[in-house]
Amino acid sequence: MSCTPEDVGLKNGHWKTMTQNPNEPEKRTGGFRINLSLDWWAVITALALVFLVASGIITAVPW
Amino acid sequence: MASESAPNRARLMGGIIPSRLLTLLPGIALLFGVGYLGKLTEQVLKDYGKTNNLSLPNIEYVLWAILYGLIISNTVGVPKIFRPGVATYEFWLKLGIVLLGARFILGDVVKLAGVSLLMVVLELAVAIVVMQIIGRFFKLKPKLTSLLAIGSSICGVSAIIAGKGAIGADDDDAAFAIAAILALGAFGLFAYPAIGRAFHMSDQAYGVWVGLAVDNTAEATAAGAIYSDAAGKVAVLTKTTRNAMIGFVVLGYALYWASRGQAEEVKNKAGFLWKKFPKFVLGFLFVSILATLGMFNGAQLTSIGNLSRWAFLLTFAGVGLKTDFREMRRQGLRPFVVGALAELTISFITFGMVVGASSMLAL
Repeated sequence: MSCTPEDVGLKNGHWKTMTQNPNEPEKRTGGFRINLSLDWWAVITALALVFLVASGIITAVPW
Repeated sequence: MASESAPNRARLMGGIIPSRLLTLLPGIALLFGVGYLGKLTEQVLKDYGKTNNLSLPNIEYVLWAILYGLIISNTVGVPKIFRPGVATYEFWLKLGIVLLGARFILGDVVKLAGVSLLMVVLELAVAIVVMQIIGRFFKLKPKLTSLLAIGSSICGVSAIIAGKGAIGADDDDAAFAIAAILALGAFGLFAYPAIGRAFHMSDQAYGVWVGLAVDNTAEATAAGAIYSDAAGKVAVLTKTTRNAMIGFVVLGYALYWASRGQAEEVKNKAGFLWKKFPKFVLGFLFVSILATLGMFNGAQLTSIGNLSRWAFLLTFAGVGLKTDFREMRRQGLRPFVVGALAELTISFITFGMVVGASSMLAL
């Protein structure tokens, strides 16, 4: 039985994301390298947003 | 990086990174569109009920966003141009969890995580034993059983991926295990809230139960948020506590398979644990500490909370868009039957644990 990513419901291009451990940095072969895992990117983005709110640059976020 | 010339670096930054980001934009826009449509639907129905004096059931935007995503994914499918961006749903999930830290006082985190931790340890033991017994009964391959045990005891897809490398399982086993966990997670989105309401569970008790029983973090967050905002918060905290255990369980399996000569030996155990530890948990705790120290005023806390909700909105749309039942059916029934039997058993046992703890700890 074939078992490609498409066969297991990962057809939306998630296979690369899913087979990559989110706790480990992405391995890239060339170009600009920023060796951070998805987890760290999420933390850095969150802290940047928190800083923008705390410093008053973002004054209100509606829901 | 130091060896690259400035013009070259500028070209790389100006060329490669934006083009990479550009490929993500259509999918992110789709996540936002689907999520926002869910939010609008909730609001329109609420307003319609009010205007016409009708008592319509309050269906949260979470469920609408997932439903719209499921409809797209299982009918027309997600066009190729959107796929890289849709795959970012896990990033939005983690971003949302870190920001959610602002809505927890550290004392509450310690108290709730303490209660959760005890139950998480019990749940881990139960899940691993149950999955091993059922896997053996159905004659699944031993490494597939190990992956299903890792996935059902901790955090679904991430744990399976972490486990796959550590125990040297092949891609087929990982694909089976991931498909089973995703299908069961999608089913749980509808089943758990219905069961919680049938048993009149409190927000806290339900949140702890969902955090213990639902495998994938995105689905656990969604199943909690469908029930109520408060239940969603508790579900995230319990699930995060469970996620923090990933290193220990994967290490246990890695040592087991290495002792049988079927996986690489783990030389640096502390390094292994750190590598597998979900770092966003640290971000969550850090933001919670900032909130506890009074670094934010009321309006700022509301803003950070709302940023977290927007991030989750994209996550929930992604949960629907990534789930394709037609593709999953091709996998055959056996892994799903095994997974479903184990999940039912785990859900039943964790339900008992939470109900028991509710009376003792006033959850």
